[in-house]
Amino acid sequence: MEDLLRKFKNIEPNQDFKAHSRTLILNTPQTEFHPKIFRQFLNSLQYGAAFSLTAIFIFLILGGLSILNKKIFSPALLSSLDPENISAEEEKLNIQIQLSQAEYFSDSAKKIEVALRETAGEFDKSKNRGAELNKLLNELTL
Amino acid sequence: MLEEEKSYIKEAMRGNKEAFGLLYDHYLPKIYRFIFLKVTNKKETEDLCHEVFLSAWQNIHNYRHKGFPFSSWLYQIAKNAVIDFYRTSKKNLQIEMVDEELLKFDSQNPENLNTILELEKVRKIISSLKPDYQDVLIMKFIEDLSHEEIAVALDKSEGAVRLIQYRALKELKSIYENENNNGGSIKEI
Repeated sequence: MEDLLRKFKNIEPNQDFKAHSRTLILNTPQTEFHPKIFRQFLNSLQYGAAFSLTAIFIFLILGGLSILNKKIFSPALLSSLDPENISAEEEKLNIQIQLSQAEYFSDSAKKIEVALRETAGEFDKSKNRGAELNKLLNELTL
Repeated sequence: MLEEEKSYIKEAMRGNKEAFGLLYDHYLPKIYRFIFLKVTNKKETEDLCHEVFLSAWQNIHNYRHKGFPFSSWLYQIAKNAVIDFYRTSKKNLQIEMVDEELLKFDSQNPENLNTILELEKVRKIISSLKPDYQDVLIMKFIEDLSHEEIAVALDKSEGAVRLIQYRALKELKSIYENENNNGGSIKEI
């Protein structure tokens, strides 16, 4: 069988076809030739593109998207995490605390004043009573 | 393999038509046989051959010499061209009789006529085998490529090529013997 197969070596292309095809092929321009350096540059561009895409992907995964999310997509969602908003809320809170303290102090001062006056009035009365008692004791003893 | 193949390839890569012409002259018969035995039609074979060498000429600057003959690269292109041909062509090709002109035999000689008929029968059997089997049989027994060269051309390991060769030859013999037993008109090989 192997010998029979080897007889196929006798198959040869037609000479007219060979000459015609050869002429046509050699008169066809070759595709654009890229010199080695240019090819290396293209390869490096490919690697560069791959690295930049990876970097962008990592950036988006690590929070880059949250900035976009905050600014464009859902500002309400992340407003509680915004440091500016938090400090503004803190300042408002401090002012409110100070106002309520001032109100408390002004109220309590008035109450103390009233109480002191009442106390002072009672003290005067008791002082008068003491003088009356002294007078009555003096009358009894004398 | 051409003695100065490397220098011809280098020149052809620089656009030297004469150098590529020499490569064409040397490799055309091999590629022609490879395609003809797979396509079994002279006109289609010529079209595909032209396509293969045109593609090789236009893309020769992409060729990288890795210690194997230029033919491995050409066989790869030819193999892909045949695959594309069968994928895109929906028509059923008529299997032509092998032209005695192609085989360079004198058909007036009765012994030669018998050989031509036998070859015709084998060719039909080959065309009915799996594409891998066809490739290995043609490259190994008709073109005398080494297992290593076939492995490169078919992008397979040498072990796989040896296994395919064994199975392909076994199947070819089996079908051939069956047909001989049924027909009985052709002498046993």
